Amino acid sequence: MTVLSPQRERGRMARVFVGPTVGMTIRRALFFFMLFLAVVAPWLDDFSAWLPFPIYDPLRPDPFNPVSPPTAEHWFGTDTLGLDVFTRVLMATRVDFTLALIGVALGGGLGCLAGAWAAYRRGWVDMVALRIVEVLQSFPVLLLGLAMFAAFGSLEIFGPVDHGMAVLVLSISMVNFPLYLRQVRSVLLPLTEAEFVQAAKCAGLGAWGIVWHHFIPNARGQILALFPLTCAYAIQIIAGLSFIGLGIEPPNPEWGSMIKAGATLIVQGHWWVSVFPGAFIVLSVYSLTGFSARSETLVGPGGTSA
Amino acid sequence: MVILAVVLLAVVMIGFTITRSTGTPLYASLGVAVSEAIIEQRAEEMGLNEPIVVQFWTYVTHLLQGDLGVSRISRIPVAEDIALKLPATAEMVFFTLAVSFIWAIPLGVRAGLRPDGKLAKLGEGMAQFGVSVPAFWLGLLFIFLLYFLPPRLPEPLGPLPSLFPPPLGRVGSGVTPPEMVTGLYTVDALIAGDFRLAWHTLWHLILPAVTLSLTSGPPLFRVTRSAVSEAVSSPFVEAAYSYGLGRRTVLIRDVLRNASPPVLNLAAMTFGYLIGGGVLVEVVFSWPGIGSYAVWGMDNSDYDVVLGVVLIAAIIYVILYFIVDLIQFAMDPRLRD
Repeated sequence: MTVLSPQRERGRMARVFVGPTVGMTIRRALFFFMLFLAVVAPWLDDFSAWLPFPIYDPLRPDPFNPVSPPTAEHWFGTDTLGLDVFTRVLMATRVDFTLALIGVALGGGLGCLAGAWAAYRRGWVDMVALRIVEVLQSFPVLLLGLAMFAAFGSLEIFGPVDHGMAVLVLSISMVNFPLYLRQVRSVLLPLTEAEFVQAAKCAGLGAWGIVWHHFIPNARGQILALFPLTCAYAIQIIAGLSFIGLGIEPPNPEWGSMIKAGATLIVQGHWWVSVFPGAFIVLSVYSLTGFSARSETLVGPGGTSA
Repeated sequence: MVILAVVLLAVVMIGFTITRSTGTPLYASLGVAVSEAIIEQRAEEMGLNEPIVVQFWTYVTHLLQGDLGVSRISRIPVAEDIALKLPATAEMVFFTLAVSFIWAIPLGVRAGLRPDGKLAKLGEGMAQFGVSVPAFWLGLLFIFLLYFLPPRLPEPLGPLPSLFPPPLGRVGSGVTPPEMVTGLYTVDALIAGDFRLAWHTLWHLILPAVTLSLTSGPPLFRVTRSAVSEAVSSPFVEAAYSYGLGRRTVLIRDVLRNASPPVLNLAAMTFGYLIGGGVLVEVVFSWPGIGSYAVWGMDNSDYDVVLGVVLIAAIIYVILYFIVDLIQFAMDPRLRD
């Protein structure tokens, strides 16, 4: 039985929280704080006596207090229905983080496998994989999402899963699949001829065994570097699609649909309904960049946003 | 060339499958209060009863003739509508790139030359901000801050009503757009010799262009920075200095010239990308481009519209990608081997 020394274990844990620079450490702390809020959001109501901020039911309107500016009772104000924006922003954190995570994990996971497979097989498999990447990446991301919603518009194939959420997750996966495929493939391509691969082959390990046990672990660093960036990007896509009314139906809390709800109010000077959810998008994306040492981002062509 | 064709065909196929897999959207155009017989008749008319392969063949042959189908709501051919709306999008994207060239490229050059300077920090800050902020939210924020933040007078008087309506759309209400020549309103107004109108249309362009530029410019900044810093530290620049050439000459003749291909490449890609990537900004600023058109189609379950826009945007992107490759190939002798 192998036991990792406690020292080393502690060091590994700490490296998740402490970044190479102070700025990155702060961003990571911010992210974990938001993650914590997202996780505990549904139970905050039970502990309201201990909380410094007032918390409400995110779906119960208060007809006597619509469009209230930020006050001590409603930190972020209320919207046209009298729903508390602060509570809803917190609940939306939960929704957006979860959907982004599932979408990226699904598309990214498949992308990694496909990328490793393409790098191992080369030849026509590689060719086909690259063409698929090119086709998928020639669609502007939001239009791809739009097309997905057009495709699944009236098909009720997700059973108990919320239709809009399922299509959102699928859209996110479609965007992430080529990103991961391309990255993993380019890292692993030089390894095809490596000695340990030859050795594994001689030892009788099958193709999937080599891909799984030898290729994927070698791309781990790249995959982990890509992960926070793609999650940040996914959050923006989810919010963007919800902003044009696709995905999460109001009154369910989601940042993009909340901004949409506030868009008609902002031209009357009632800024808080839109501004706070948007600020949370910025904060979450910004905090996620604290995990990536690479300064480049995915927004734009080739990488691929809105 | 073959690859280009294959990619385009695949794009079309995916688009087609997507829109035809949705079942009959006839209720959307006819309403629910019609008899089965009428539905059946319309389905027959629109060729929806043919086998899917036949439908696809019809679609592709029509597509090659520039026919993208007919909007089920407005009954106007999609291709006509797109031809009308594409110039609006193109104009917005042109100005977006122009704005990016004003801020991202100079800052990138400066940051490449002096990586620790104040301007480099400013550029990095703007890039960091630009990628974190959702474009549609930034646009809303601009509209609010510039037009609806009511200036407050002391208490008995309270907030003033906002004085100017924000410049939404391509021209203000009651303003006649210039006669169509290129479809770009600013250019058309200049051709017509109407400088007031040109200024008016430019005024309507600024906010969407700045918004899009802030969110799509960061990659340009970063690529410029890395290209310049790479060029500066390369041996040919050292050699140029050792000939005794002045700083300015070396900067223009060697550094900028060698750093330009990746930057121009990315600028072209950004253009192609933004044609379909500016959807949300178009919606926020009521810009009547193809993005708003697609969203309109989506709202009405008018899938030929959505598919038409998606296809056009993807095709523009792929063709631009191809052209950029060709130019790169022609310009850079190292790629030819």
